[in-house]
Amino acid sequence: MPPIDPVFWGAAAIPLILLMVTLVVFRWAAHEAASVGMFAAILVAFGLYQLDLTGLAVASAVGIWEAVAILYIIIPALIFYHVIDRARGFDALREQIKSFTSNELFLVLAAGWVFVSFMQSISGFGTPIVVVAPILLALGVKPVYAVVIPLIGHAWANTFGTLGVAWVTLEGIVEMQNVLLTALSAGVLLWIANISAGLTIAYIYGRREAVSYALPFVVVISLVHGGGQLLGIYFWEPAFANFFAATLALLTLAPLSKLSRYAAPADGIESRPAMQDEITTLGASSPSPAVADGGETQSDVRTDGGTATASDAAHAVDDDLMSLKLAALPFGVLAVIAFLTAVVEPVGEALGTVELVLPFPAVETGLGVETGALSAAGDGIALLNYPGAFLLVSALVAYLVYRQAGYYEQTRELIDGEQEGFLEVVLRTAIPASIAVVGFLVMALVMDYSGQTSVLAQGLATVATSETYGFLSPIIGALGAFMTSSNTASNILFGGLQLETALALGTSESWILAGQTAGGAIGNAISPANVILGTTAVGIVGREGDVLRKVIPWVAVVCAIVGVVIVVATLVGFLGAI
Amino acid sequence: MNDITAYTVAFGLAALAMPLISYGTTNGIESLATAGLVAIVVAGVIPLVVRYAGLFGTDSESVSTAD
Repeated sequence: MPPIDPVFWGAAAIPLILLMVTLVVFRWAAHEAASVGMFAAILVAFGLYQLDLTGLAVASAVGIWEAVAILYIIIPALIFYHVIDRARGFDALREQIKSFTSNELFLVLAAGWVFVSFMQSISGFGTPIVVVAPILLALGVKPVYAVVIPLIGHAWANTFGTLGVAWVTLEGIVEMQNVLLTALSAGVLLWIANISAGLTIAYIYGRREAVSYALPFVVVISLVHGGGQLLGIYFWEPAFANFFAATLALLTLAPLSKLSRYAAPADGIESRPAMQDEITTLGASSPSPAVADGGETQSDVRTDGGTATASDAAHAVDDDLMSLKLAALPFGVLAVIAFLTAVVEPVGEALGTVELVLPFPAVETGLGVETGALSAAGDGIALLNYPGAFLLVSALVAYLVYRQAGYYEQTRELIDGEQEGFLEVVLRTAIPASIAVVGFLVMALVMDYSGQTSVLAQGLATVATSETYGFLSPIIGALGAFMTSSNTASNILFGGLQLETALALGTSESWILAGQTAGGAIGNAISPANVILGTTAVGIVGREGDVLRKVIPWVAVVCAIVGVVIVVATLVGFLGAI
Repeated sequence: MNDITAYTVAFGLAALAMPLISYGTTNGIESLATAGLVAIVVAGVIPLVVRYAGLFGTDSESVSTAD
């Protein structure tokens, strides 16, 4: 193993530091910053961590292979988005949703916190971001915030969401002394992330006035989310706890919208920094949905002189928009498919038999870091039982229905046929995003194969004491999620390390493992793949740094709060933590 | 060459590298694996070339929209 010393630790941190500096400080586009991080990781791996050229080749190729899995969501998500957008489905959705309540803040919280959590409970893999970001855009949220809000809003649901895949994985790879206590501890920590998400989204919308205005909403929904999840863990099954809570919260929206406080536009909120100026009327002067906050319109970022999208022109007329049922059809189909494939095992298993696998050999560095071969089942991409496939099927259903109903023809007439080709617009957005995802994952896999990621985590664990390690455990979990864009992968990567360190230091393993998975969930909000999914979905590819500048402080603060709670809980013995 | 074309080339190189390295390393053909690694390196350089080509005023346009 590489030595855990300042030289090796500092070198391993270089790719991450360069990535963050180029993205967040210099505001480079993700595909440019990813290249810098990738080359730094390769140089450190080759020069210091003794990963030879064959090992580098394998690690890089596995990174591209992992990127394919993410691109198999990004590209179908873009198709899904444009199929709806070209039929003016998002315009219809916005207008119909507004008929329930004209309270913007309620709608933003409902979509960016409640609905995105529901999507995460059944789907995951970034799907909630690509589905909800365009909805927020249609509600009048500025594009950067339309990505920021669901990133923050969905994070808490990562561990027990997607039918508990991250939790089940953690339970499988480490031997927990008390599974229920660990799950409950994780539930408590994720509740903190949940309530802070609700408050933060309200703050993003309209600063302090909005927070105090939204407080009853946030308290009620957080009780349902966090409390419901804890009840689900205790009385039912951790794998279904998030689905139970998220569904209950979705149902709670109906009575909440009837309250006089939320049935009418919000009073007393003067500043609305996350919102475009005018969203209540679809007038010709309305801005394009992709008007960045103070930045450019979507058409400004085009490089090929592309022509109008459906939404660009569709603001002109709001008659003949489709009904809410039709507008919500693709989302309903997506939710049903995701739920059926996850819950009805024979369906999931049958679809899972079609798998794409590319073999790669095992690799060992000169310092003895070994990584196993990729060849067995489980390393492949289940082509049919995958969010990308669900998005494509949902898009196809929506396309056939909308075409039959004549909505595409109607849009073409509205914009006099001046519409950029479907494939052209999808590829124009997908290509830079694809390069970024490939760069990030090559960097992450090279760091993993060479042992840099382990050294980073072990270095943090080495400097800790039994009293302070609790503070670091969510940070390590978040680091894993940032590196892999997955709560599950973070748990695989660092679950064992966290348990071993907890046992060695004699601190509570339940709270440390809970910190790992909660940190992994929170860190998902800044995972490059999720950020790129969001920027791609709302047409602001290249502004990933702007998104990260707004999400990183939230992740840092919540990780710190969660860390303090773990330290206190282990000191006082809360939930049997001794 | 505009930047989208350049990125398409970069993506094509990365996509090509994957089977080259997979086949090369699992069958002991080192030259294929090396060619794959070179393709990845070239693919990684392209976004940086596009960025600086844009800054130095060639016909390549960056999609970066940072304000």
